[in-house]
Amino acid sequence: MSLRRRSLRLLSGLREERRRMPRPRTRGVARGVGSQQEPINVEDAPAIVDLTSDHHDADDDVVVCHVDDEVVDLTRPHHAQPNNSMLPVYLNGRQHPEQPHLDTEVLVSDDEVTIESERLPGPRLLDLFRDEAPGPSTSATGSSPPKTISCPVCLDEEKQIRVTGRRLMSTVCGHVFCETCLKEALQTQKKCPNCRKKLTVRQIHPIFI
Amino acid sequence: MMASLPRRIIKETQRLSHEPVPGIIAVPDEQNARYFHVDVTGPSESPFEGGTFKLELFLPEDYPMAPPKVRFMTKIYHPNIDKLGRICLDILKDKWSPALQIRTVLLSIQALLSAPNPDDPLANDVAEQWKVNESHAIETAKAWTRLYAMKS
Repeated sequence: MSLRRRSLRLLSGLREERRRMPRPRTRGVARGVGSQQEPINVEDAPAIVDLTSDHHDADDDVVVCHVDDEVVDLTRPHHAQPNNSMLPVYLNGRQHPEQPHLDTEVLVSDDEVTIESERLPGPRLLDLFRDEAPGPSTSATGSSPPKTISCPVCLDEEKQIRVTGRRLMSTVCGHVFCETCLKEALQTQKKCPNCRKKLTVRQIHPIFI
Repeated sequence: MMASLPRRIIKETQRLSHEPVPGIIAVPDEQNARYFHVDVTGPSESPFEGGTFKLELFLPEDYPMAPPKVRFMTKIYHPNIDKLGRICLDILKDKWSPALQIRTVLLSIQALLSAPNPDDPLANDVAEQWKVNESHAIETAKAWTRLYAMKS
């Protein structure tokens, strides 16, 4: 009994850890999109749960740990809202030097997601987006990170993409490309060009800024 | 020739010359803008330190959807590079992504020089040597570097 209680405490500690964990950053300089690092993940948790408790507690933890799935849900069509209130959430999930406090809490539950997105006014969303590195091109050039969004495949900047009648598209994993390049890339490889997450054409959506 | 060159290649070429990567020089061929003459400096604290390695890099028609073709021209003693200079590197094959660029590829190749991987060999004899007697293999690599990659 006391053993069981201790292991439960251990589990909730684990949960806290996970809450504080930043999203995985998969971008590297030399390997570009190379490394496929995952956060401590889904598989770990249920395994621990099985060892320590037999019934209901397990479910609870599984839900908490499927963080990534929840994020993915946000971007699916039935969640897409006309005012794009979910977009900032997504951006928050990525580490931002000036807003470290917005970090991963967002990923934990739907409630928190809503709170975070309400807290973000429009202009801030824009700022966040501007600072978002457009991909390996920035990390590779190193010295002068571009201030505008650009497609990491054709290297065209946002303005150029617009005037040529292309839309900016985001993947469910949060990486932004021009429509043409992303669709072409997905035809060749069914993976995100930036992080190699498996993707289909249904897992991308236009992004308006 | 230049007229049919995709803008991405032009941009990459310009950036390579305006913001060069330390230890890497990539210059397009005068006749063929898809063919690059590359010099990579051997990373410090590797058996290739002090050497300058020549490579050729070619951007195929479907680049960036397909990876560039890269080959060492300078002889090098490395478990993942065979005697024809062909390189065993995942991003040049199945792990290629169109978001990678000439510069990231060359950086990866430079990193490969720092981290030989004898468990995924291309040059089997070299890999074997690397596993059986690493210090001897490193000495050979240094000797080859002096012999082939240093202009006196």
